[in-house]
Amino acid sequence: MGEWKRIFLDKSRIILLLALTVICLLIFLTSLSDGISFSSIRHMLEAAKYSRVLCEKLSEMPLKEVKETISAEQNRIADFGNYINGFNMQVFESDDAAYGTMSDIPYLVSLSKNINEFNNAYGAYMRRLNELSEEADYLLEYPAYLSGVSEQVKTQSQVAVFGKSGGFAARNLKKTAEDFENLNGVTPIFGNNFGIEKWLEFGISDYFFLGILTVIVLVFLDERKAGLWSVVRVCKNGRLRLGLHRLGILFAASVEATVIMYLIPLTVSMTINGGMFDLNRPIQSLTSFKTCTLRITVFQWLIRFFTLKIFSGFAVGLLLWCVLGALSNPQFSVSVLGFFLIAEYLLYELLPVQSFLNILKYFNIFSYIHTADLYTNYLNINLFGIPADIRKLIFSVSPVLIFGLILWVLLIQSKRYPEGNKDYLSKLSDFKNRLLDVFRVHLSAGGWEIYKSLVYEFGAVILVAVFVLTGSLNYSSGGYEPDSYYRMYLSDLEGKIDENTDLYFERAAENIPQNSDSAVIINALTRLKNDVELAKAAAKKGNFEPWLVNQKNYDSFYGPSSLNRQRTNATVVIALLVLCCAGVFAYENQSGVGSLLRSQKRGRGTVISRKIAVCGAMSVLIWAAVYVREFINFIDNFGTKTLPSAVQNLPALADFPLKITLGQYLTILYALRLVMLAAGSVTILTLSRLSRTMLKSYILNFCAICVSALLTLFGAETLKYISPLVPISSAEVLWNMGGGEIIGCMWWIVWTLLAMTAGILAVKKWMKS
Amino acid sequence: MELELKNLTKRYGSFTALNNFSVTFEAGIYGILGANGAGKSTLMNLITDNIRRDGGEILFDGREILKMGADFRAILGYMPQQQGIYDKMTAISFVSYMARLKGLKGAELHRQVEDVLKLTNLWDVRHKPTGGFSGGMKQRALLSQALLGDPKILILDEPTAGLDPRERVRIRNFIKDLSKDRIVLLATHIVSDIESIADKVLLLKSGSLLKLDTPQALIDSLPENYVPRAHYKDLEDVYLYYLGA
Repeated sequence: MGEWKRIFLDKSRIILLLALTVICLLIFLTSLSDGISFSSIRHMLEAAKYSRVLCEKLSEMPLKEVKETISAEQNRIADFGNYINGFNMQVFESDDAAYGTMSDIPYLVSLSKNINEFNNAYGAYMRRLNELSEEADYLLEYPAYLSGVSEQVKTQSQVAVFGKSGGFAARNLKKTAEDFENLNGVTPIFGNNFGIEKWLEFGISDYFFLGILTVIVLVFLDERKAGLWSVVRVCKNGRLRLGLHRLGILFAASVEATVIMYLIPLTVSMTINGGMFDLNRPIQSLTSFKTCTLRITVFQWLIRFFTLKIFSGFAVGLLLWCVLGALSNPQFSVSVLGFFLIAEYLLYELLPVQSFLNILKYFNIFSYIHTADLYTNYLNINLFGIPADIRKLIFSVSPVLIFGLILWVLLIQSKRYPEGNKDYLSKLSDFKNRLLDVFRVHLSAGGWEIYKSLVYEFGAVILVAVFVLTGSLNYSSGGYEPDSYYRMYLSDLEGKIDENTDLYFERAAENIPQNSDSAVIINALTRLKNDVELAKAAAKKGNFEPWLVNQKNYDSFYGPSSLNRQRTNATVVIALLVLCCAGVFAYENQSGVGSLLRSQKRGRGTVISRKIAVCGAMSVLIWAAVYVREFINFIDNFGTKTLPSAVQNLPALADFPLKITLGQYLTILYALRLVMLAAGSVTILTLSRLSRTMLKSYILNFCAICVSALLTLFGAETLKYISPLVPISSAEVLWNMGGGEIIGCMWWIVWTLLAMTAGILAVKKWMKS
Repeated sequence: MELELKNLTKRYGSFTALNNFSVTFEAGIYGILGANGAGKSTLMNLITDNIRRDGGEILFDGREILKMGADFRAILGYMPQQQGIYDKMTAISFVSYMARLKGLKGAELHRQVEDVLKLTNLWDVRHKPTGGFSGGMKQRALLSQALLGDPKILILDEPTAGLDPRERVRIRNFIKDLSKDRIVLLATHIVSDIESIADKVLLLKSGSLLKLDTPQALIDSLPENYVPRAHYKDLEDVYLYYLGA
């Protein structure tokens, strides 16, 4: 039991697992809602409650009626949204009449006075309705899809290239037809799919799952790293018996990881979204399982999924153990593991489906990890001319694979000698070092700081992860003008207001078609004319050139409606900055070389100035990864047409204290963010200087900098005064200055002073004894 | 060349590690002996300006070393007691990095790096990461970097700890050769090292200088009725007599 206790009752591992569970759930909640603030989570919960009730009602209706009911519901909510936003005031006679129609959704009504919150909640409801509508469409089309598959098979069989008997293509067509014939008589049923579909979309849990298994397997090598392998081996139970215990531990770890990464999120998803009582429907009722050819219910599939997940996890763990156990030198374990996983991932992602090497794509760690994909993607691969269902193939070979891997790890555990093995990796490592040393001996002091940061402190890996992960961040609130005619006319007219603007209105009025949309078009044109007049009046008063600018575009990226997004992104930026910079000084402390460096001629000023420069460079890279991407996103969506306009042309920025253009406004915003990020990196550097190990530095920085940002994000508004969140985001402060809140600039002044003080302290402490 | 310590004082809270310590070093090897906590490492840290002093002065050729700053560190070679080293760096990378921080450049840097690695017998393993080194090899890597830049003052804290006898003798002889035109301060618990190479020995007790003399003079200073451990008196007897209690 000692090994079980050592692995499962280790405090740091328990904390790690708890942290992973919390992070996993937080990411899951983020994926369900429009950000991770309390308000967005509340909007999501309310929308989920509403869709649960609606689904119950719809599940008792025939499918055609379901579709009609959803469309009617979409129109009802859209009308209310247009009325509250003031886009179409003719749909209701009064506020009371509008509220009366929405009496079953009191949450939406309660937000009608707070337009930004209303629009966020409104968006959450509409998204749910759109998904329900898509589900209804899918179910209506499913019978046609099934018959379409057999039709397609018949048609293709008549084409010579496919129909050639004995060839893979012909066999594949025949097999596909047979597999889908198996579904004859299966009728997908409408129900609440949200619980499972949202959970299935949560793909990141697969990587957390792999992470937990990797950590457990690395723990098996602890005795090697500590130089105790031979000591353990001479113990009575230190060979086969220990190996058998570890097999049990690995299996238990796979169960544990499955529960944490899949069962808990599924339970949370079911609790929030419902669908618990709709599990007895055919699996094809879920849109993701359109191509699944199994005649099973959703519940039966879940049982299969969890069973397979546990065994897949066990198989993956065994494979990792085989790879790492075969190494004599534990120093290389992390590097070898990294290369192995990267190679597997590249094969999984890059090999074409019908490549002759596709066996490497499917007999791959990531195939086992992405278990659900094997059910949601129907695929036969060419196995020596025979079409083989990849799912069946993988699962039928797995028992043999697992048995083989078990034998292999037990052999390593009981028979491999700790010393005297041929160590090819050491030779390879020497060769690598010899090559790298040719370059390293020429590095300058600054070059060395960059190298340490990128290689020894894993900065390069973190930066690659930064560029990959930040690609999935959202940059706009997604809110847009619901009136399509208004949107169209505004898009045409956006720009300088001159005589052409009046001409445009005249021509547009002449071309209004006489149909059911004419009232809506007139309403849109009237609104737009009103906007133009307001812009002219404001320009005259403020003595600037009048421009018609779509405020909603700017608002959706930089204004109050994107507040949650801005704060979420700023929190991500802060966390990334901590990951990149927290090790910069702590690495020296951990290596115990402080006094050695300080006694060198250039070991004080040079070292610290280069470290500050490295932190500055990290800030620039993170800034580029997130904020330059945001700007590109903005330009892609809305172009550069309005950037020369005076900032005061946006009604929300009418009182902005500087007479600048919108382009200059954005330049100031992004420059402020960069400066604030650099200031943040100096603060992290200071805390890093105080930490004895890298881990302690990460924890200290996380507690001091990230926690307050996270809590602010979750709605603890008072904490924003001690958090770098607001100054790093900067968008809300700058936008509020447009409303006359000049005092907002104190954020930047205070934060800069704080960072400068921290920086001076760090420098002083390093320079002076 | 002269390194003068005047009334040097260092306190850690209520504990006085060095108390009005004064001594003047000239070219040669000075062995520093003292029990644990006698103030040896504090003395070295003060000379290398790695801790703040509470009083006194350290003058190199009449100039305060704090005012000399980088100029003083340019003539200083320091090997600390703790085996703090960058585990992931190879031996040649580590020494090259230290050479950069010493201000060495170009061909001179590469020549000196090669020389010190050969001198400390690490040339053959220069491409191995120092994390995989034994304690003795780490000592030699640290000694290598201390020798870079032809330092005028060499401060060696336990330089021969963990070395096998052959390496110890080799390093000891090398240090002896170095001492001709520089000040070498050598703190160690291996009394025989000091006895064989030190020109003078400092006996430290409770933060104060108890004795400063040549090894032979110190041995001669033992009372006539002192009974040695072996058949003859040596520096270990001096240590036990003056500091052992």
